[in-house]
Amino acid sequence: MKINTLILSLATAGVLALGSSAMACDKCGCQTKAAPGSTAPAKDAAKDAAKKAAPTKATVGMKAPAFELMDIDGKKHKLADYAGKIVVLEWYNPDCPFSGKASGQSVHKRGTVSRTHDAAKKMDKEVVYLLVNSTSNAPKEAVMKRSIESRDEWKLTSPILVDYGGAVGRMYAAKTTPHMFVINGDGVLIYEGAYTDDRRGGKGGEEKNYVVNAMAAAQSGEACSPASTRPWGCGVKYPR
Amino acid sequence: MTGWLLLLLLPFANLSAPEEASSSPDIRPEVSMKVLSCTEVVGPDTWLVLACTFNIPDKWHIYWKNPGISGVPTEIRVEGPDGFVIKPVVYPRPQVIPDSGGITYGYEKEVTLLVPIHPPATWPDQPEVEFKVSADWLVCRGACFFGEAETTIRIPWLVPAEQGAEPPPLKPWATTLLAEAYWPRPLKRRPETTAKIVDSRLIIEGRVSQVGKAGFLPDPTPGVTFGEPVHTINDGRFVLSVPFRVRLADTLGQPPLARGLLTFGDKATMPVFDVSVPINVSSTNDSSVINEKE
Repeated sequence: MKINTLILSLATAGVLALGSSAMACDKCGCQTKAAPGSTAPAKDAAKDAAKKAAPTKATVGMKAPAFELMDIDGKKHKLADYAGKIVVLEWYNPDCPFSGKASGQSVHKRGTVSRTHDAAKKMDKEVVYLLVNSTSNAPKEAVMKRSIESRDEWKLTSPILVDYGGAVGRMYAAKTTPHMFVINGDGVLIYEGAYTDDRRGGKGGEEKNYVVNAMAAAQSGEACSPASTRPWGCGVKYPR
Repeated sequence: MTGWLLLLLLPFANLSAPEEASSSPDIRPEVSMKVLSCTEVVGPDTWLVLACTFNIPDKWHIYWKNPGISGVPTEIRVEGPDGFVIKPVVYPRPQVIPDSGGITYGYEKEVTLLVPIHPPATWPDQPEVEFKVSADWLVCRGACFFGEAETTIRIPWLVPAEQGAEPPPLKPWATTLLAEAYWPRPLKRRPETTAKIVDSRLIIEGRVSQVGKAGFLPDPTPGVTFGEPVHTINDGRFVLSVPFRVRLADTLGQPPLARGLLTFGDKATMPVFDVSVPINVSSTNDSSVINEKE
C-alpha cells in the first residue's frame, strides 16, 4: 500500500490525524518544502543524517529509530510509512495526571495538545501525530482497556500505539508521560523533551510550546532550538 | 491569650490535596502539608524561615527540585507583603529512588522544605504579617497523582525595644531541625574542599570523610547533562570527576552551571554541600560545549 493511500485510509477511519483530517492533508505531497536558504548547513547535516541507516537509539540530529507498532484498533504503524512527513510522538499514559488522566495538569485537558494540532493545521506540510503508550506495569489487557477508555473520554483522534514491553520507549529513551519527539520530513529526530515550559498548566495559551517550535523548524528547514529539554511528567511505566 | 493561641495553632492546619476524581483504579494517596514559622515572631531586618512539612503515605514519594529521569519537582510559592524578600526554597538532601526507567530523586514518609524570608527594615504598625503559602507535587508509587495545597500563616510582628537587640530566637524544634546534616551547606564551609571545571569535567576534591564515600547528585541547568561520576581516593583525599556536556542551543537563555550536591555516605540524613560552578562557554575550546548555531 502506498503512503498516501495508507494515510488516507487511516484518516478516513478516524484513527490517524490531528483533528479529524488535518494530519491526512495530502494536498502538499510528501516532499519537504524548500526553505529559504535551503543550502543551510543545518539542513545539509540533516540530509546527511537521513541518508544513514536508522539507528537503534534515538539521538537528536540523527535519523530516528525505525519502529512498527499496532494501535489500539489493531492497525499497524511503521515510521517508514510516514517518510516525508513531520512526525510527532507523544509518550502517553491514560493514568498519569500530566498525560491522559483527568487533571488540570493534563496536556490534553488544558488544551496544549489541541493548540499543537491547530498550529499543525496551519502548516502546509503534513504532520502525523502519534501517541505511544509504553505502560507495562499492568496486564496488557488492562493497558489496552485504559487506552480505549481514555481515547473515548478525550475524544482522541490520534492513534494510540501500544508499546507493551517498552521496546520502542527504551529505544527512544522516553522517560516521562508526556515526553515529546519531533521527526522532520527527512526522518531525522530534531527535538526531544518537554511539551512546553509550563508543567503546572498555569500559563494557558502563553506557554512556550517546544513541539510547535520544532514543527516550525521542521517546516522551514532551520535548526531546531531548543533541540532538547528536560521532560516533565510521570515516569514511563516500563516492565521491571 | 485566646487570640495568641489561635495564631499559634492556625499554621498547624492540615491541608490535603484534593483533585478531580480520577478514573485510575489506584487509590489516591493523601499527602498533607503543614506550615510553621521557625520563630515565634518576626522583626525588622532579621531572617524568618517557614518550614513546610509534607507527610507522605508509606511507600509513596514526592520529588526533589531535580526529579531525575522522571517526575516533577515539589514546588512552594510564598506571597507576602511588599518589602519582604522571599528567597528560593531550600530542599534537604533527597533519597535516590530507582524507577523502572532509571534513577529519580525524592522523599518518602516525611520531608520539610524551608523558605527563607528577609523582612524589611521598617514595617507599618501592624500586629502581624501574613503569608500565603501554596505548594504542588507529584506523588508516585506505581501510579502518580498530582497534588496541591494552600494555606495562610500569620506571624506576630515585633519591633525590638532597642536597636541592636538579638533577633527572635528559634523555636526549640526549629533549632533541632536546622542543625540537621542533610541541609545543603555552602561548599566553602567544608575545609580544603574545592570544585572547579577542568576540560569537560566537574572536579570536586577534598578530604575523605569519616561519614562515608563522596558522591554527586546532579541538578543541572537547562542544556547541561552529566555523566557518571568517577571517584578516586589518594593520600586521604577524594576526587570526584563528573563529565558533563553543554548544548548551547538548549540552555533556554540561562547561564549554564555545573550544579548539584556533594554528598557523603549513602543515607539521606548524611551531610551534603552545594556545588555550583559557572561553565564559561565563551572562553573554552572544550569539545563538551556544543554550539550548533556556529
